[in-house]
Amino acid sequence: MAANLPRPKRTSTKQAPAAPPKEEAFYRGGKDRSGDTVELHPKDLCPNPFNRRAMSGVEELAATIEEVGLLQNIAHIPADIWVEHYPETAEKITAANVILFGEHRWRAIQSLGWEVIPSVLMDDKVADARLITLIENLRRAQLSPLEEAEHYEALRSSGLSYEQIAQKVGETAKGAISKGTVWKRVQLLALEPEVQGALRDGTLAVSTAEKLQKMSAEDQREAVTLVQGGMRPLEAQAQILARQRQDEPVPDTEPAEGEGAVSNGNGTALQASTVSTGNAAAKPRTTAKKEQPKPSADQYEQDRSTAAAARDAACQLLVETVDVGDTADSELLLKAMTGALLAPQQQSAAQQRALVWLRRAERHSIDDQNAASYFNAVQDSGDGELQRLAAFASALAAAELRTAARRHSWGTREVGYLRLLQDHAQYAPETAWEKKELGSDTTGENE
Amino acid sequence: MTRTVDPRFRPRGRRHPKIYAFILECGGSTKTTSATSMATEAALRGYPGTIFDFDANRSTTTILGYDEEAMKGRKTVLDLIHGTATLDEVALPARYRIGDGYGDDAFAYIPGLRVVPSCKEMSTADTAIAEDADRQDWFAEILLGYDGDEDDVLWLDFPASYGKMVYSVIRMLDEDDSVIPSVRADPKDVKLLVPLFEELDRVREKNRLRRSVPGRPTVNHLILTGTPTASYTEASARKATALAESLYGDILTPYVRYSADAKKLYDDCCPLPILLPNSVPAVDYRKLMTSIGFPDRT
Repeated sequence: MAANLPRPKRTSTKQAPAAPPKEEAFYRGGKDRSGDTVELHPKDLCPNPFNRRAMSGVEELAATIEEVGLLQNIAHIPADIWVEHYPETAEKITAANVILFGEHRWRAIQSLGWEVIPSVLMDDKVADARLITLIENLRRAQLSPLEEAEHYEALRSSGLSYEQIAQKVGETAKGAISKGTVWKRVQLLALEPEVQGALRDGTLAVSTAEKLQKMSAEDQREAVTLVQGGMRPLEAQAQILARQRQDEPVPDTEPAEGEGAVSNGNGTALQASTVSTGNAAAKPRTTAKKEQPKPSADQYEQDRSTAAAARDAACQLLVETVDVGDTADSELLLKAMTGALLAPQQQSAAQQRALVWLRRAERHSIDDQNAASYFNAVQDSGDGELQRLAAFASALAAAELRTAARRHSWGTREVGYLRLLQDHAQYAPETAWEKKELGSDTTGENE
Repeated sequence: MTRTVDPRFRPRGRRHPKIYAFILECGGSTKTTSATSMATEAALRGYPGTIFDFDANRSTTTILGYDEEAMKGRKTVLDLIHGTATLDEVALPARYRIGDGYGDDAFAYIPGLRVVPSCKEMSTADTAIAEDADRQDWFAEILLGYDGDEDDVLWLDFPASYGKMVYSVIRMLDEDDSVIPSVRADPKDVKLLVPLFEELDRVREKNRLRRSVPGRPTVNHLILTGTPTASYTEASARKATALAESLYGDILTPYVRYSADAKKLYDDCCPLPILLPNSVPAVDYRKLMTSIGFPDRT
């Protein structure tokens, strides 16, 4: 029993209770402790060498601060503690304290000429400074994908794995981030400088850039040019993919009948060759293989892109050649518009595509890059023929978009649209994909 | 260790130990004092056991030798709830301080007693269970997986609340186990027994038709502490004692009389039977243990 157990050490019997010294229990001034807000002169701070965020919007921020004051304090770490931890950044440390986060605010306050800036001392966070800088930037949601990528790459080189980065960033920033996302971001750094440039200035979406990754340098540059010229990314990708097939030596393909209408001098080389794909039904599919940087796993997927590019060219042909004033073409117009009106509408995307065709055919008459306002202008123009042509192009585009987006078996809408192209644009389905979907031509007897 | 467990502690042939649960939605009602004293006294008398600390205030954990510093890096009962550790990984040998620091010679172990420590984050246990329906079964899993002879008894020390975490545990009790409200001789404490009985009825009703969950928590003992003595004659204590006698006389254990000593276990971080074995409450807890079936068998 208790008798043979050692005696407990008692504290309740002591005269003075073992309370902590008052200095430890309460902060009574003197040395600053982590978490304290101190007022610093802006000159005593220098930027965080890990911060890669572009300094933009400082003037606007300064204006806001002047009006409502500084709503949120910045944070700093004393330079000696910083340098001890990150000696490699020593030469970039130019003041007594390093900003942990809040460089924009610091710059704004400097521009206002304030004498002091309130800042929270966070010397205990020095080990995590790199991560905090990244997270702080991610939270503010203005970090461009490439800036993000650079941060991740820096964390990588400091020894973290993709998974660890995802975990750390994910648990502190709201919204989980997967290791795949981190990897994809870092891969962006391998893109061609032109593509990175387009990403940086916002003319290229990240998703598009990711699609370009597997292309050769030359194709990447070309795709960016196409996209910046107003082409939809998928379309550009499809065109390049389709062109790769045509870059095969195609010895003197004779234009089929009806081709003459295409070569009216305003089609680019690219268009002409794409159109000929549609018509050169005799060309065997087997030649389509070349050193392709992206051999897709799914042959149908490639076929779909090729077919879409070919149909696009056929539509372009129709938009170029249709005579809306001629009663001979009214059946074509009616068919196209009927098809479009009976299907669910994708108005704005279709209008964008239609405008691309109209501009390429130089039949747009009104110079407006924006599809929505262009079509409004067409409406207001009072030009009956232009209106009909625009409506026709838009109906055609709606059908094309729907057909191109369709991954699985076609319905009567898609088939009907294909028939229209066959009847009026001498379009000949070439890919196995389209033949399968059309159902009838698998024997090749039409060819 | 091969040891034949007295069948009393494996009622109706079940494999997991008999359970004593200290529950009452009333702060400072001497749940922790009774739980640590009785578990320690039982262990010293030769009835090994494991005491679970479910309270985020970690009083039981601290009294049995593991303060905040000592707990650093150790697993807790929350790991059991989250299913990220086993009972044997979490349970620590109960101990008390005999010297300074945290080295081996700073503590003496209480033979036959383990403690499943709590943590501050236990305050989130209800939410964890609410968010993941599978966690509801965590305690059932522990009982089902129990296949040892290490413990005669499991002692459970609860916080002063009836939440999802408490429910996940007490629904696994049946009439062979005992819910023990430990209350001070104070009218407020005694009156709070009614909500406890209501809560237990609710648990029974909810599980009435279930076969995998016993769902019959039963109050077999009522402990009254801080009862009047020759020198402690407060009117409210006398009134409360009389009230408890008239209402619950059938389940009342021998009284644990009032003593200022009882408050020292929080200061000294040592259970009462070891800290002050000759104090009035320590003597009373010994009588109580004998009366509820724990005679000294050492």
